[in-house]
Amino acid sequence: MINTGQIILILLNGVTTGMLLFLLASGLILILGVMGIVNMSHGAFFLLSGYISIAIASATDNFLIAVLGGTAAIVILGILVERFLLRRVPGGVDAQVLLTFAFVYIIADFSRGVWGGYPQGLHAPAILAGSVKIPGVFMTFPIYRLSIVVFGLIIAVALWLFLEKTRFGAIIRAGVDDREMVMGIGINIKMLFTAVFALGSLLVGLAGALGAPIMPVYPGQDWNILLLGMIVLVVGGASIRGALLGSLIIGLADNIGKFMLPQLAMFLLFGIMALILALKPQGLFR
Amino acid sequence: MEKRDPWTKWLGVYLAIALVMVLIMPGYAASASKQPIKFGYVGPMSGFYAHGGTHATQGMKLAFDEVNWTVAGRKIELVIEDDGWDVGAGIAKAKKLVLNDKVDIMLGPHNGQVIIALNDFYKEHKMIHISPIADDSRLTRDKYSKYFFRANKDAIADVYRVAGYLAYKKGYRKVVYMGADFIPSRENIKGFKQVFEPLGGKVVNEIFVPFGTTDFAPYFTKIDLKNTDAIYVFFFGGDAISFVKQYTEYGLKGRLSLLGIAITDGALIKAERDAALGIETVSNYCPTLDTPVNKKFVTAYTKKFKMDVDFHADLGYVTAKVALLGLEKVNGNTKDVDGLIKAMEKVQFDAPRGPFRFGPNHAPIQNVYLRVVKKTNGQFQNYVVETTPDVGQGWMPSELR
Repeated sequence: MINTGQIILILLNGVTTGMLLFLLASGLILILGVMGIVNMSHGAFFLLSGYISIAIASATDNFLIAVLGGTAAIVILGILVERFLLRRVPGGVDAQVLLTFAFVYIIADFSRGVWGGYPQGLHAPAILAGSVKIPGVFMTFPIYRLSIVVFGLIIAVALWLFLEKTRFGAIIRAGVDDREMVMGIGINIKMLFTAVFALGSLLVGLAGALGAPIMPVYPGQDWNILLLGMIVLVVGGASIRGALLGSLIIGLADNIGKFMLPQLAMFLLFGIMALILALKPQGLFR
Repeated sequence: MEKRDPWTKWLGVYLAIALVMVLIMPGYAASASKQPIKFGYVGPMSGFYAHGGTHATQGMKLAFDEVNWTVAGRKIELVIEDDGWDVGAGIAKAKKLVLNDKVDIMLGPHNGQVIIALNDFYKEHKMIHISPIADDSRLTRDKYSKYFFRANKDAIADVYRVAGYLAYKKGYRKVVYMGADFIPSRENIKGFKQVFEPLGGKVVNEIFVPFGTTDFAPYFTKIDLKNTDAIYVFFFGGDAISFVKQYTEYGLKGRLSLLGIAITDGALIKAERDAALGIETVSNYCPTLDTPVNKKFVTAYTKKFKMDVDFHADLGYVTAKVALLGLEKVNGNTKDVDGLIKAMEKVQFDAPRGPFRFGPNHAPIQNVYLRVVKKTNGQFQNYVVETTPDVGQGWMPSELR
């Protein structure tokens, strides 16, 4: 039946998948939690960041520059979208969501025009390439995936510190709770929202760049990413803690599901999502 | 002022109209007899399988370039529609091409399910359709229609049986199968087993992986390394890249032999790089085939489209060429559909992939190659190791005949 080696591998892979999901979902959840907008172009931003990072990497042959470049590009895009488009849309949050939806198609067609439909990949940097032997398991484990766990934890901690311990973080939290009051104290709520959207874009841009060595970049991947982000959002709830724990749950469920019943793996994820929606709609860790 | 009667007043206008009619009428008369031949193509130009449509249509364009986009004095037009590898979209776009664009011959789609769904529609409209690849085996068996031609192998019958034979010859006796989760994949392993198991081998497990999977670790974990000699694999697109990379990253390379279908095709190697070295695959095509026809094809293709040749480019080329050669035989007469069908059945030529002709039920007979990935001059490429000729539907190795 199942031996310990297999169990270790599934747990390890579940955690690494979970951390990648966290990176991917945190931007979506931040924007939703603070601004009340579900950023439908979240997946498209992820995809675009992947494409840009790959392009920069082939030009410079430097992974770090590629990641920074891809992330920066998405931050700029996010700021421009929020400042000049989202902010001006009348009709509140619903209209804004539709606008972000439009961006999915704009970015997808743009990407296909520039880079074609071919799936592309990025290679992990030399220091993180290679695999380690895990005791008790017959397979080796790629170092890059382990490093994703580290990145994810750093970002989770950084986000938490930012939101809980800085003045700006306090302003953000206040803005969520009571927008009018925040404006009344004289804080520029518009700048706040731009900053939050920029931060969310930074997170998804970073995720797209870091994820490129693991997930091939091609048109259609944007929908996969958005879907996964949504599942994590529903299961975990709209908070950083929810994002982290929700991602880990989904990562583990996905790996266990695929191991036990490959054909039903997708069903398992949606099943969990449906269950949470029915029993605790605001998510497990709101 | 006296009134001028309408004739003199409008005389200038009447003369102008008459002049225009005299000029364009001959044009109409001429074009009625020499109407262009319209080809319709529907296939995956975007999404997961985008390279399939991109390369196939480019291959077709190259075939049309060779005849200057004219056959039997009629100009050739090609209308391309994207189905994004979605069955619903494929059906809708194909119908649009037949009903709205009124194409003469359909090329594509790649998706066998779409073709089966449209079988009756095509029969009703007497529409010849040539698919570059739809290898669903029903299309040349129980769902056979005389209007259908397939430019490439059948899922059960040939390439995969050769793969089973080659696996046995290599000494593999216990094989695990891992492939994408769709019908051609299930038929692939059926075909493989039809040769591999009677010879004495055993397929110990069959693992089907959904499209778009990025993480193969849970599937690798299911393999019992102590009881398996080799893994037989079928993926394409992004999945193939992920699989090949992770096969190395998770330490299976060197511990488990690999025989693959499609995983090192075309530009996939570029993304896989070192991970692809030494991987053996079975295919109808190899870009480095050392024949004059292939060399000419590869040079022209890379020059015109500025990208490497891919398996699908040859498919597109052959699909178009079959139509062109058939049309030449009947002098461009697209009204006599049965005549054109008969002409196409007799088509025989040297394609980039090697000698090509049709066998019974419009299924092709061609070579099958065992290839391996090597690095020469800094470039990763597939090279032919062994050739099995004259493989068509129903092929069996000599030991089992």
